[in-house]
Amino acid sequence: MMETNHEKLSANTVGFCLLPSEIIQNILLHLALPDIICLKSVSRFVAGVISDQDFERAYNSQSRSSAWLFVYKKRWNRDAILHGFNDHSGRWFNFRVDGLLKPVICPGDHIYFLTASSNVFLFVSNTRRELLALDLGTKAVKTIPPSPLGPRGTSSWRRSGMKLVATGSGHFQFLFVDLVHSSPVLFVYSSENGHLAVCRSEGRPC
Amino acid sequence: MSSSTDSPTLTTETTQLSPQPDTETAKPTKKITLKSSDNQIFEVEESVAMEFATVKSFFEDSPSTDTVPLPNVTAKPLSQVIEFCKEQIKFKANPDEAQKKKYNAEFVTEKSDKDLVDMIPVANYLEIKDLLDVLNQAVADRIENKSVEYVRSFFGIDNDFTAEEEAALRREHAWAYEGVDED
Repeated sequence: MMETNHEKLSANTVGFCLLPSEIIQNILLHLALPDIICLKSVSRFVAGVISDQDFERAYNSQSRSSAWLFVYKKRWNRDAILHGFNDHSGRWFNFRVDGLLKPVICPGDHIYFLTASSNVFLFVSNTRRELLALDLGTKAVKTIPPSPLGPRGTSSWRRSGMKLVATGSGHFQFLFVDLVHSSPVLFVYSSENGHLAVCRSEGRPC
Repeated sequence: MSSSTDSPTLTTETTQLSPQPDTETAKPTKKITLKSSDNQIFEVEESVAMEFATVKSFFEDSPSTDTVPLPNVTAKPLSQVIEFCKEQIKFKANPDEAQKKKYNAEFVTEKSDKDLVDMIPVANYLEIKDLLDVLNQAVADRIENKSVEYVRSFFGIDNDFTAEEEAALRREHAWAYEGVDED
């Protein structure tokens, strides 16, 4: 056959980096975000492809269809770890968020994970009764003063209907329902203005 | 004996409609010659060659040519791409999504990493969208959850970061690194 000739010549076929970046982006679009972020250190070219605005836009519009489930596990005498299951990849990812939270937590603090949306992960410190918002995009972590914990002022209870909604450019709204004088009240914290709004519902849900 | 006037007819009414009108007009016997950059000659049926958008438009522009030169394509990936397209033609004639999926999965499973990567620019150049989709997914599956070093050698990419830059990048993205397969 002509196989030997083929082998010799195919050794100098077009290299990966000569592919149009659109194709490389299409390959990367099949991966989950943590995988993509790791690949930033492959080479300058790949880092450029990943940081490209068009790629970011394409990834964001596609990733709306994939869902994450998070579990925050505290390991005794060790760092805590956030496990995330991605339905699109069908596997678990581990997020080392403890290092990022370190600047705002004191030794002995008990941190619990509440909820996540887009890049924002919301934690709560029971000891200090504070909410901690971690943005994995910017890796910024901040405490939210005054903490929107509702009328009970406690963070050791989970609120019903707790929901985090990313509103773009790193901002978010945190919504939860609490009972005030035996009627449910919706509290909405907006990170943009730092206000906790109270929305009383007219009808009582059954 | 008198013959029955309404004897059963042999007309089959189950003929499937071909979803691809282009292939219907093609005469199955007509061959088209493709010439790879390493001067290998491939004779393929016209219906297969028309799967390559680039070749198709080449013929639309100059219908009298009998050999299409493919200066960006070497023989080995081209032969694999032709193999893929031959099967896709069959699925166009007899649509069977499950079988097609199975074939596509087997097609990429038996290929080496290099074969897959080498076929991507060919599928891109010849504008074979179905194959490109299959290849992109297959390559993504192979680099999923792999280390940076693995991905570099997979694609033959040189690390052009300095040691300091790479360490800084890894520190910055340390939260995403845990649990990566090192092999």
